[in-house]
Amino acid sequence: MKAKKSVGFFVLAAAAVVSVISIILYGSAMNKATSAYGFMIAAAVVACAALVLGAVSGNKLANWGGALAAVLMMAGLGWSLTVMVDAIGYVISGLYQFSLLQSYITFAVCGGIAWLLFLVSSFMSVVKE
Amino acid sequence: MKQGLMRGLAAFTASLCAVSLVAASYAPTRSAFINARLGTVSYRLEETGETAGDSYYFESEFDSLSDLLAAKTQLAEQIASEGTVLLKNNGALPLDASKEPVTLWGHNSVFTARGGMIGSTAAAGEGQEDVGLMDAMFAKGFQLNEQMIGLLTSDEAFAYTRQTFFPGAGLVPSFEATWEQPAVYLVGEIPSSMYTDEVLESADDTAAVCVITRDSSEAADYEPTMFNGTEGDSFERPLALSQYEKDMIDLAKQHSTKVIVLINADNPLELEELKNDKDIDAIVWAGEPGVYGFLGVADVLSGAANPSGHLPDTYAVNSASAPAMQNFGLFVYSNNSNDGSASGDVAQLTTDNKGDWYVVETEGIYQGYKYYETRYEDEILGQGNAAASDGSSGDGAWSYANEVSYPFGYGASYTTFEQKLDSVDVKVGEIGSAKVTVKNTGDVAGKSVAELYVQTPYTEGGLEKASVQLVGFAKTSELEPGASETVTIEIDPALFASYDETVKKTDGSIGAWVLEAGDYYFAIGNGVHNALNNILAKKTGSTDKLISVNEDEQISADNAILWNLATGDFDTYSVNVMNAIQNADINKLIPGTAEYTTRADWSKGWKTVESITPTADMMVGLTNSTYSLSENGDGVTWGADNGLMMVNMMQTDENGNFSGVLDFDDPTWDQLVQQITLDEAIHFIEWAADDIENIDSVLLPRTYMNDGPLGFAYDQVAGYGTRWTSSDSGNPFYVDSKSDEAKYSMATMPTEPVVAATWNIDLIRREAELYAEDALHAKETICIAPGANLHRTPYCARNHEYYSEDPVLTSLMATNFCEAASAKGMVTQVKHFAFNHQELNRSGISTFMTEQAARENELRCFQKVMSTNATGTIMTAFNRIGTTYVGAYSGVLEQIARNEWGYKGGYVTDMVNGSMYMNWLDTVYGGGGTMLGSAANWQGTKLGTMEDAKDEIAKDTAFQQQMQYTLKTWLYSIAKSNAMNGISNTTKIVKVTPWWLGAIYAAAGVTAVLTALFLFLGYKAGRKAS
Repeated sequence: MKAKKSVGFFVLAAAAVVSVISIILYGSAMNKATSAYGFMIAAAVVACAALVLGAVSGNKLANWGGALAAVLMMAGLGWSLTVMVDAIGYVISGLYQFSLLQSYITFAVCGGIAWLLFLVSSFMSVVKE
Repeated sequence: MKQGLMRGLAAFTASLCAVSLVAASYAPTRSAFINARLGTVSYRLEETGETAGDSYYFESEFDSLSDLLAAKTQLAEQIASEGTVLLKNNGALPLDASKEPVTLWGHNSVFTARGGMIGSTAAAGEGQEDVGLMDAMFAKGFQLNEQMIGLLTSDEAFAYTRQTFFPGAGLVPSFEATWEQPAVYLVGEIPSSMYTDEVLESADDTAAVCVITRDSSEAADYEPTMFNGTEGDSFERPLALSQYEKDMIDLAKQHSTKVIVLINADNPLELEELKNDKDIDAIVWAGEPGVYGFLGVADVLSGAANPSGHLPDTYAVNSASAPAMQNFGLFVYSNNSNDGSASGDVAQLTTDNKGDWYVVETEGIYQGYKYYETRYEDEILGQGNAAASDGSSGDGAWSYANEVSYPFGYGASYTTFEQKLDSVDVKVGEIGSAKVTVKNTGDVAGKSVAELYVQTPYTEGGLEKASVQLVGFAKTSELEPGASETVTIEIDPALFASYDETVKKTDGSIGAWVLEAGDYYFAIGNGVHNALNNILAKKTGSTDKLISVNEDEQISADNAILWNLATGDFDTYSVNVMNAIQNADINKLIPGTAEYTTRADWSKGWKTVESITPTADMMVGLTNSTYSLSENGDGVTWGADNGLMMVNMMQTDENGNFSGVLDFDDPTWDQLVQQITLDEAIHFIEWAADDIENIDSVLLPRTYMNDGPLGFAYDQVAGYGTRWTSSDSGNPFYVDSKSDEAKYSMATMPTEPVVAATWNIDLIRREAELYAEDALHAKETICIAPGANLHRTPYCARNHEYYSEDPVLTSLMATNFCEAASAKGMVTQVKHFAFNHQELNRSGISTFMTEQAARENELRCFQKVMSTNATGTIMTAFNRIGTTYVGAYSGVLEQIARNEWGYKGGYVTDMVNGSMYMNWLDTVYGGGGTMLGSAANWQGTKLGTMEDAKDEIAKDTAFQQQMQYTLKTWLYSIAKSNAMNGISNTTKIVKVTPWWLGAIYAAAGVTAVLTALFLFLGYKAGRKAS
């Protein structure tokens, strides 16, 4: 039985797409943390799995995909920041130029949007409850 | 609906919980930084013994911080007055401050340069007095033309301020890869049209002090091709006067009773035009004298102090005329990562390699005066094709008269001195001496510098030799008119031995320090040129052809003494010596690439090495693949229970004060190091930064290490109170963060060229003592100073952090600084070892040179301070030697420094800047010590962090041995420092959770509870709905 696609489904789908984009953008960040990659990829995978589960089987477990992905995404963003602290400090103290941070900032904004979308989707239902 | 709400809230609080957990994991690694700003601690030392007694091994000579600050101000003033060099004076100086009104000319007279930008900024703290030239002259009683000051400080004039990033910055520093030469320098002078008739009239009947300023900066260089960014102004070269500056001086000549030009720059400017201008009455070099130094400069102008400074560099007619300038700046490999391409077996470089740039030091040993003076002798003796037009600043034949305005070591006075070289006593293998009698023959009291030089025997076509080089110097006390003093100058033949890369010794090794048989001429003089003229007068028996460039030069063959060495010596200074940096010579990698400057034919050595395609061997270093971890050996001991503490390694006298540490070879050091765990070792090495990581297993407390040459840098340590917390209030040197002086800057002292220009060992030793006092009062242990690189060219904008173009002057300054500082418990960190000769693309640049040049010039700057272990630590440079990162170049770090010189201190890299070439694997394996910066740079990279690679490291015995050696060298140095203050045999480290960490834990806990609550409510809502 196919579940009816809700608004939550599309929000989660959008969040998954944005999270994948942010993972790609992270590749150009100045410093990269393996753990950040791990958490963000896990977030994207969880979201995709929830979408498939919801669309194919209508299992209500899919409704928790957005919530779990939001947590994973935030953990990824947090770890990504830890390896940029020095660089940010160097920019503040004038040792680095701001342009060195731009790729990271672009990623962080994109990642932040992905987290927000995951969070919004977690308030909604992928599968009708 | 309710289930969705609870799920969303749970997601939100769980996200916050995730952030809190990340913070709880990461923040402790930055606890020193956070604690310093919040006034908290993560551990405290607790005395558990009943009779601990006084455990302060280094004590202050001052009763209060106020007394220390007053002493620093007074010393800065004295250094600046003794470092000020009088270059020209027709009697206009000194000025009578009470009677002669003065007009300051030039916009930069109210925007003086006091230090460099970034690493060594001269800074006053909150509430601290900041003294520019104008302030200093007012303070010293000068009557300054207020109308002119009104113009120079007007909004209209401010628009011309040197301001690339901030006021007072004429250079544009760059920390990123640059593919173009630096293009612009802002002179900051105002156009002559801005001087109104009213202002010009106000200058009539006043003495003019015209200020010429050039900036210094980390991460920036001057280039001869620069243009002046000041609108409407121009210059031929940035180190020449600009048109606006010339116009300003012309106006001053028209409207003043006398014209004095004050040079406010550390980089040698082109002064020939001013020197020859009869309307210029005096020229005074003040350098960049720090926050209080202009008080000393004002004393010189008023005659309250008699100038006794001597130049630390050659002032050439054309600042770009030396052969070193042919290969300075931007040169890229043909396979660079920007627009290069692969060639044959050689792949294209990547940005990660940070290996795109190179510089070939084709001038060989002929750097600074060693070029100008050697070619001069050959000009006089008619040898070596010295008169060839190559390198001439004029159109025709080369002549010294057209090339040098003021020689290295020159300096005039308000009085006159007569110097007589009484005797020289030279002993190979020992320290000999020269005696010089100095008499004040003028009518004003003053100090004089006796400079001793030597000429070693040269055979045309043989080993390259400079015609003259500094051996040593001594400064007299203040001599009253008619008084005399005999000073003694040490003669260490090691300082003028030549390095022969071709000598094969009896043990089969190649390369040796040689003193060739023949005539050695020792001479004194007011500067190197005077000394050489004395030598030539002695050698040739005539003064007829000799060229003087200073009117007050007195040539006398009597001030040169001949000493003959009957048999050449290849052994005395060659113990453990062998060639170690042959692959830094580009001609040994790619034959015929460079044409080196040679005394045999001065027409050679003027070619620029425009392009290099690296060989496959060179690519090993350029791609940072020098070392790899492997499984080898039987392992090393970590975490042993030997019952030792750092403080056990220290020896004290009967008063409980520091008297030394156990000998480096004492096996107890190894036992101490074996107590350290592998985790602690990894953390200590890869997290070396402003804070030196504590090692609890040996009771090494966390301590601090900061820049730099002008005093602890204000942007890193924002005042004496920064490092203290309320828990330190029992410490005798504690500074309450609420006190007025808590935010006072320590980075106030004159720049290194000014200090060098004093030629006064007592002053630099006193300066070092006061830095060590700062360390005590600011809870600092390691000062990243002094800089000891050579001024290879006048164009390196970081020359202000290094003393001189001469290795002996540099070496003696650096060694005495470090000796005096360490005696008071501060660990010095001499930088940037080695060959940091340009800041442009300094990160990763391949620096090529001959081994003879490297050893006789740059390495000689560092040799004494490292061989005597006067310094506890060394900071390596950003550049490569040849194609290998200097921080991983064992030939210099281990063979030369440790095996030949006997250096036992620690190494640390410069700031790890995210570039793969400064990686921990190559650094530790290559003997480069600890990493200045964060392990974060390696997270997510192919290499990973040391922590990531712990299992592999644990299998690699050779690597772990290098780690343990690194730890031993650092502990050996820190055990001799004020970091041991407050620790006794019964002290214990007690960990404390600071409130901010507690808050993070609490946030994690609360959000976790909330998450669980929302999950439960959501579950209930789901059950109810179904």
